[in-house]
Amino acid sequence: MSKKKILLVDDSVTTLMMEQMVLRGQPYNVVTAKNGEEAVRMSEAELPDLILLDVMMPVMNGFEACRRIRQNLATLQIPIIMVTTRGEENSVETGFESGCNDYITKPINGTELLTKVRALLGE
Amino acid sequence: MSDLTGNPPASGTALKVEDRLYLYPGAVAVVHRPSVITTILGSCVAVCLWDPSTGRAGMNHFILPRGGGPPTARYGNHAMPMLLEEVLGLGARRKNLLAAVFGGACLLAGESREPKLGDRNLLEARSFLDHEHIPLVNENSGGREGRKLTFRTADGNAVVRKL
Repeated sequence: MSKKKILLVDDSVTTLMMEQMVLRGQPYNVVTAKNGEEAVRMSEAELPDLILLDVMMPVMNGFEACRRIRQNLATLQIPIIMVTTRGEENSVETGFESGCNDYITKPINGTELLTKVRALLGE
Repeated sequence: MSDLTGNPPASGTALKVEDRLYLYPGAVAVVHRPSVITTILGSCVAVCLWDPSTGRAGMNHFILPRGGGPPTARYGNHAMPMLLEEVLGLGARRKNLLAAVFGGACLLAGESREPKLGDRNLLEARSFLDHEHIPLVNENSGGREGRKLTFRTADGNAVVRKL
C-alpha cells in the first residue's frame, strides 16, 4: 500500500522542521509549501491526503488558500488542519468558515498533531 | 432562568456581564462572577459546570481523551477533575452542579473502524460526569462541523453556533 501524502504549509522554516520531526518515522510522504499560493498549486499537483495549513503567510494567507482548495473539485475533499497561533482566536473562526476541518495551536505539541493527523486520515 | 439548555433568556432578563474571556485549547477557566466564556471546538470537547445557586461556573477545553505525564488540561482524564476541583474550590456546591458537553465533532467521514477522536473525547467527558454523579443537562456534540460555544455564567446559558 502506498504511503499517504501530507502537505505542510508554513512560511516559517522552523515550524516546517518541527512538523517534519513529528511526522518522521510515520508512514507518510511529506511535501512542503511556503505560502498559500504555493499550497494551492501543490494541492492540485500533488493531491495530498491531508494539508497542515498555517494562517499568516506572505503572498496568500491560509484562509484564502483554504477557500481556493475547497473551490476546486479535485481538491475540495482533502482534510485541512489549520495551524493557528495563540491570540488569534478570530483566526480559528475564520478558518472553519474558510473550510478547514480542524485546528491546532502553536506551539505544536507532537502527540496532538499526530493524533489529529491520524484521525483525519481515518487511521 | 435557563440551565445550560441553550435557550434564550426570558424576555426582560437583564444580564450584567462583567468579564469576557476566550478559552484556549488545553485550558480550564473558572469564574465567581458573571462572565462570558467563549471557545471554538473541532474534535476537541468543552465541558461547562454551573452551580445555579452560587453562580460559580467553569469550562474546560480538552484536545485528547487521555494522556499520561504531569497533569495538563490538554487531556480529558486530567481536564475533567481539574475543572471540578477548581469550580468547587471557588465555592460551588457539588450537589447543585449541572453539566453540559459540547464539541467532539468527527470532522471527516473517516473509514476507520476505531472510535473516532471526537467520540473518544465525548466518552471521556460523559464517563467522568457519570462517575461523579453530575447531571448532564445539555449536550451539543458530534456531527461534522466545528462549533463556537458561548457560555454565559450569569444565567447558565450556553449557546452553540455551527461553523
